[in-house]
Amino acid sequence: MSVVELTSTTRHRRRSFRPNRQARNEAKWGYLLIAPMMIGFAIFFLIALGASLLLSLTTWDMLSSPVWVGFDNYLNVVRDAEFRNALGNTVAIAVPNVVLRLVFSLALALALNSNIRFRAFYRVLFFMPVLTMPVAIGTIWKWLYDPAFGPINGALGRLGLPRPEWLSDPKTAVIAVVVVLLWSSVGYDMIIFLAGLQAIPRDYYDAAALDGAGSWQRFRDITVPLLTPTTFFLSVIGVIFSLQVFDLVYVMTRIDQSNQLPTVVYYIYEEGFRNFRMGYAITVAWFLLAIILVFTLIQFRLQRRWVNYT
Amino acid sequence: MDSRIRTRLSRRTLVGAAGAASALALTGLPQTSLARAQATPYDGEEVTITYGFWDSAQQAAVEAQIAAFKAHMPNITVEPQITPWEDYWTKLQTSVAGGEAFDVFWINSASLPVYAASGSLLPIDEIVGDGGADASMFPAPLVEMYSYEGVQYGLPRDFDTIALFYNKDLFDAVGVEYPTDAWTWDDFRAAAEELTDAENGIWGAGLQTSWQENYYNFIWQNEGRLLNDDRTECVVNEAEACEAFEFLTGFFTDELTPSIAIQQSNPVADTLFPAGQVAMLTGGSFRAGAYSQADANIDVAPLPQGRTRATAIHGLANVIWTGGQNPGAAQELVKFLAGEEGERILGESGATIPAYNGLQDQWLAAAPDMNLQVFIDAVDYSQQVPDPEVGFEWQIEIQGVVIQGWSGDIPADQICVQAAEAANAVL
Repeated sequence: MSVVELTSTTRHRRRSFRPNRQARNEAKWGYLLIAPMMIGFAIFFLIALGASLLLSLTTWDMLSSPVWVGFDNYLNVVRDAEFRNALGNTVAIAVPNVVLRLVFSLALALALNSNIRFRAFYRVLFFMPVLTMPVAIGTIWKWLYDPAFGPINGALGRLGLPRPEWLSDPKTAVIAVVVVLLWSSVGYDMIIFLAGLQAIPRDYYDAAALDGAGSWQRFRDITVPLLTPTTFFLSVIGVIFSLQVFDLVYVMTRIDQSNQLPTVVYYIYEEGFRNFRMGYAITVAWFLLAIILVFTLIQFRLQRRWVNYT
Repeated sequence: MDSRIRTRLSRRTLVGAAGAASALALTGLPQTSLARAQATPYDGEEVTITYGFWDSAQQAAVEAQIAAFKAHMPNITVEPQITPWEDYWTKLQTSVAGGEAFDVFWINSASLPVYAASGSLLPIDEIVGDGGADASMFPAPLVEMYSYEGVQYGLPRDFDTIALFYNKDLFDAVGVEYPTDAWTWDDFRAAAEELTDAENGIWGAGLQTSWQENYYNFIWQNEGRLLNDDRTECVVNEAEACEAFEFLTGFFTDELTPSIAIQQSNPVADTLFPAGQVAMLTGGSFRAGAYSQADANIDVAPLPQGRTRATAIHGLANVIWTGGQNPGAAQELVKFLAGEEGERILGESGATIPAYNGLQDQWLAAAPDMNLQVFIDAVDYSQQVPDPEVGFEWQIEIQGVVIQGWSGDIPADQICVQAAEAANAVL
């Protein structure tokens, strides 16, 4: 871009008698240079988006041609008890996940920001699950949760505690899934928090210490407010990712063809790819998008009250 | 970039382009019709076709079939493409929609109506008859499974029935008589109680969540029905089926079978039974090959009988995709696979019972230590799962309720009622 601007300004001086042609030329170059990106954007995003909007107005089994049904799909989603159940499960997973993720990752970041030994080693250790395939994570944790042969229930049994049937009972399955989600994602938030912590100038703490502020006061009055932009960013993406949970419930909570803890994305998968109702599945996907959008807008609205950009 | 340009682009041009493009995308979708698809006969050209299937236990047999076919048709190269069962149907559906499906592939009877009705399958009547495949060499009910609205889309490649596998060592240890063909439900239940040894982690019975290998058999044995005669309504809430569900639920409440929670991470037929932790398992003939290789000392007897004898029968078929580049070559492959030679290779592998009349002995010989004849004899009292046009979603709905019931979340006598409700909601 800058090269084009340079050459065009030099030309501009020389051929100032033809400004219109020159401006057109500049625009042409501009379009040409962004064309690859825009073409990719159009093909992989806009067309797909437009097609999915149209397909949500049809019934389509992917094998024969779509049949136009107007807004029937949208009306059916509103009345769909299975969708509400899936949404309830998703929220039950998302709320504790978002909150606990922030708490644990901040605690980890604070611990690993101090001068402990093997700091780099611990950072890598906690970040590792982020780099691991979710399906592999789900498979391993499924073994850990095994009600009869798994180590978790083995330990509970030796302590004389009840041994829950973790993954087949929807109530305990929510807890089990949240634990795995946390385990696999706090490392990511931790790294972002660490970056946020390191951006806070040391002088603030030194000055506060001179003024007699204790460590809790320094945390509350310096760390917390100056981390609010980071916290805000992490809570927004935390909500977005949590509402899209799929792979873990697919791997962990399915029994044969049934799932005791279907989430919204799992329900989309089931309707589209198992029950041959792609039009309906796409409609549910649009509902999910709307829900995520509403949550995100609320968060952006609320941020004015608590996020501190300095 | 000039902000004026960006505004104009996003507001008008892009929206318009997206609309036009998506309209194009819609009209560009596969426009298949029910009009009879025709294939030009194979002309000897050098071609490559793909053959899609899911069972890794049959991979060697399929490759042997392909090699034998190549000997007859050296110019046709067949590429076997295996996709695990869990992903097979998703892959098939999306690849048919995307115009990139297998030329020839396995299908089950529940999926046939959906694919046949959408015009995705090539009728095979051109290759049946003179010099081609001979439909009369296959059991008629299996052939009937692969006809839709009077048109034949495939011939059965194999069939499976259900019987009672048992671990001889576990029976000997407790001193219980082996199952016989005179066994009733009560005998089955009594033996399960005697064989169960909670302290040592032994369960008397292995009742899977599979409809085909488990509860359908018991419903039929109690003279119950799955659907009404028009196949429009699920009737598992009739007394006969309810009794069957209650009988089976008793095994879970009394812990004579691994709980649903345990089965969730330890599929009973794949892990607990061959590992010698379950004494009896109702299972399909397709498991015999693996069990004959297992360390456990396993044999097989007919399913116990209720008011009558019954077992579920099912068979797979090879079908041809209408969208393939070389339908003629695909026809040649299907013709070979449905012939005596192709079916014999399948039987000799021991992986599954060939559907071709007279070749079942090949399969029996593959595991001579086991009384596999019971699976063949079971054909006489076998029943098919009725397939309405809507696919098998209704069966999954029933299974969802059954799993909740066996987990203890639904009272035993309500399982059949709620299962019928759930199934009827999608029928």
